[in-house]
Amino acid sequence: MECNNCRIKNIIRFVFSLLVVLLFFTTVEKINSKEYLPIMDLEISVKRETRESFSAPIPALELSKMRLFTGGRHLFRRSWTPAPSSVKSLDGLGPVFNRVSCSGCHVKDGRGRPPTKDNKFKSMVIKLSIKDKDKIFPDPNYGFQLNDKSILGVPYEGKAKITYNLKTVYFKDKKSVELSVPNYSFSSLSFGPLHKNTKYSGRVAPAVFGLGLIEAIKKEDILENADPQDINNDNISGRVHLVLDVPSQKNVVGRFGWKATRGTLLHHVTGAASEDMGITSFIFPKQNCMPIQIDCANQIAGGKEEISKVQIHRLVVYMQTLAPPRQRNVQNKEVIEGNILFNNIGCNNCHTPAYITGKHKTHPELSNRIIKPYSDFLLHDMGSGLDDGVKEGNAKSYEWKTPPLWGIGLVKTVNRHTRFLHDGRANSIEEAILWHNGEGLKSKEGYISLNEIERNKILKFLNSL
Amino acid sequence: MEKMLKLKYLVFINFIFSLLFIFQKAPSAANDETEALANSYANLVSHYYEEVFIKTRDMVESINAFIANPNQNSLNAAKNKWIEARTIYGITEAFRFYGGPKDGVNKYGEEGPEGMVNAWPLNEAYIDYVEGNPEAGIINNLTYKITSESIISANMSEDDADVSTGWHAIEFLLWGQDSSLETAGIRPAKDYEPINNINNRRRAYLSKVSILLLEHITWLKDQWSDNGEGRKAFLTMPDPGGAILTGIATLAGFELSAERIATALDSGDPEDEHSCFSDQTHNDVRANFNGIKNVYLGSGLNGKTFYPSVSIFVANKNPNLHKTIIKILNNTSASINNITVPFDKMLSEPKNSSGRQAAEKTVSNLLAFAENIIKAGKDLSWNVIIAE
Repeated sequence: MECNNCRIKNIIRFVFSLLVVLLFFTTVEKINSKEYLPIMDLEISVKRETRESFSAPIPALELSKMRLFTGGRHLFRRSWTPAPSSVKSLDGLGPVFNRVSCSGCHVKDGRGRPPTKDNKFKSMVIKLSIKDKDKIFPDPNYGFQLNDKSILGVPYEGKAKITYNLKTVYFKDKKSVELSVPNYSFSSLSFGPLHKNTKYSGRVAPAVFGLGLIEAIKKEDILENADPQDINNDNISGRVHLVLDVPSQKNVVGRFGWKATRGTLLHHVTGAASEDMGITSFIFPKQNCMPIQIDCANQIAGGKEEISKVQIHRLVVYMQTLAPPRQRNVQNKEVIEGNILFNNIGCNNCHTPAYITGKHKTHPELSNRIIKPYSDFLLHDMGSGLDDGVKEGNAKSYEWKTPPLWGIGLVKTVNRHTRFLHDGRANSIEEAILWHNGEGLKSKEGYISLNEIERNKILKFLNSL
Repeated sequence: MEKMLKLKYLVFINFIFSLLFIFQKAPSAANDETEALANSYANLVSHYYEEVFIKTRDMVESINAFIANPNQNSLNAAKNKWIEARTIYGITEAFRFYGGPKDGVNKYGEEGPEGMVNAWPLNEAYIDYVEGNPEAGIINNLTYKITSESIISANMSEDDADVSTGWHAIEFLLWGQDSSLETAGIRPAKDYEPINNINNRRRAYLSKVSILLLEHITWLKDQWSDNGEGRKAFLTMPDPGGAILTGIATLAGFELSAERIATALDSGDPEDEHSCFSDQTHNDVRANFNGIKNVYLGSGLNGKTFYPSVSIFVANKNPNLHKTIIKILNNTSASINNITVPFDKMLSEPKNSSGRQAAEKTVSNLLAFAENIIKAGKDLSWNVIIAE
């Protein structure tokens, strides 16, 4: 009965989408080629705006694999306990650790944050390292990461505290924003003060969706964007972080972590289990106790491999098949204009919008898909403001991997905060933009010179991702 | 240049698809038949939420009576009311997974109450004492004020398993930890005697968390009532048939089969059963299955029917497929009957035990059901996406 009305609506919808398509055709040659790839493949992305936005399997996942996915999710959420315990499959926590479950830091498969007023580090860790020429060493007593918790009978390593100083940044239109500069202090250190040369850097837990698709990006596509000598003279170099993949003992392109220190999810998952939870595996069989930590080394382990190969497999499949959320409000005028401004000020030079994935080794569902992560997965010099002195692998202390932007607008919904950058110092997306220096300086200056309406369009675009 | 061509090709394909979308999808929304289906489905959903509301209200009354006079009898009565309400609630889980009122976001940007109602797994030490830690949880943390607001804000605030609200929180507060394979949890009624501050906090917690659940169920009931916002939104969905099938296919092929049964079978950990404090997991499985079956067939309680049901559409389009689906439903029902009780004891048994094999059979039947529902969706040009 209402069909006449529907037809009119359909015609309007048709005309509008025709216009959008025409826009694609006319702008495609002017702007960065990869920008106007169509939206992400529906088979590997999800449309959600709830707290569960980061927690869905890719729609293309074979039904027979759902069991692996949910098994992995279950392990991701279950708490580990000290050995020996009644649940043998989940014992072996610690002796020193940061959290008892994966989801403790990656809450709702999303993003961690610095402590609130209670000053408890619930989804953030402190990395430690000593640099000597081009080599890095662990702190002699505390290793590469401060474990602020421990099982009964073993001292924890110590506690950290963050305070912030404020620094004002002005826009060209005289409006301003206060940035928070973190200062760290340490207390209750069980094995004396940190070494005098030890540097420290806070790291919040990154979101864990879409990682299988990142694993499936062709190596050539990442290498293609690299320009270590800045031959094209755009003040942006971009370096591939070649890293040793511990499981395969091969050098691979780093893709995961704040400094792209890992290239495969097997390495990433087992590394996190060891560093953050003190759980040994066939990849990392040694408890992470420094020599001085005798009580730590003397503890009973929860079996030779505290997490089994079968469990690791499930966790890896879970990480590989969590779907990224699709962009929302794609046809909103301000979002489209924000996207164009984003490109005009050069953000897309490093936040590379789109890829077509290559062949994924274990999940054909992830192969040959259009994805839009908005990252080049390269290391960039981000300037002295973000240089905290901690070098990791071949990544210098001032170099950071371009973090993917997909899902950034949903962090507030999923994780109920808007803390960004590696240590969560930015209280909003805008603050994160303003921290860009070094290779990001030009784009930041571009942002500062925009007027408020234009700035809001960019933010609206980012919030649609 | 080559890249440009490839790009243009992709954009062109996208364009063609959007054309197809416009000419194919939209007109089906106004189709009289699917409109009738959407209405009968909304009536069915409303019918079940009305019933869950009544049963949950009964449970809250029973819990209040228990708190007023805590003894073993009043505790048992409250537990029985929890089981009764849960048996109907499980049916309503078939109304999820398509962005409806329960787990979607409405036009005001409000998220449905799913995460407050049935979050699981639940780390019990987050709420109250557990074996080896007599001072665990919110109840024993005297600095934590117990109010409805604080219970809500504590829910999954720092870890997904830190669940403070919903069915399983109430279940833990009534039954306590289950450390036996033979029986359910055996929390003593004296935990609720008003003799000390901790008990008073526990009394307050149980009272508030059960009222919260009733509020959420009431909200759902109202969403689907004749003039409810949720119903209105559902009736204007472009593809209601796809939504209905997505709900039951996802419950069968993902949530029930993989998340709730297979994951527990694979870990073998008795704690991994869905209702692990009350040992009522077998009822949960049955209730979810009833939801799947009732939506497909359009069946209500006490012989009430809601036609047209999706099964009528499937049968008209592809009678053989409908027959196959009915056969799978019967097989699933039989395999569920063969899962031995309690569920946690079955999990601890060797792989070839009859109970475990029945549970495995249930998983494969549910997957087969989901696959055939996807086929039905294709036949009817309804879009069915599992687990989105």
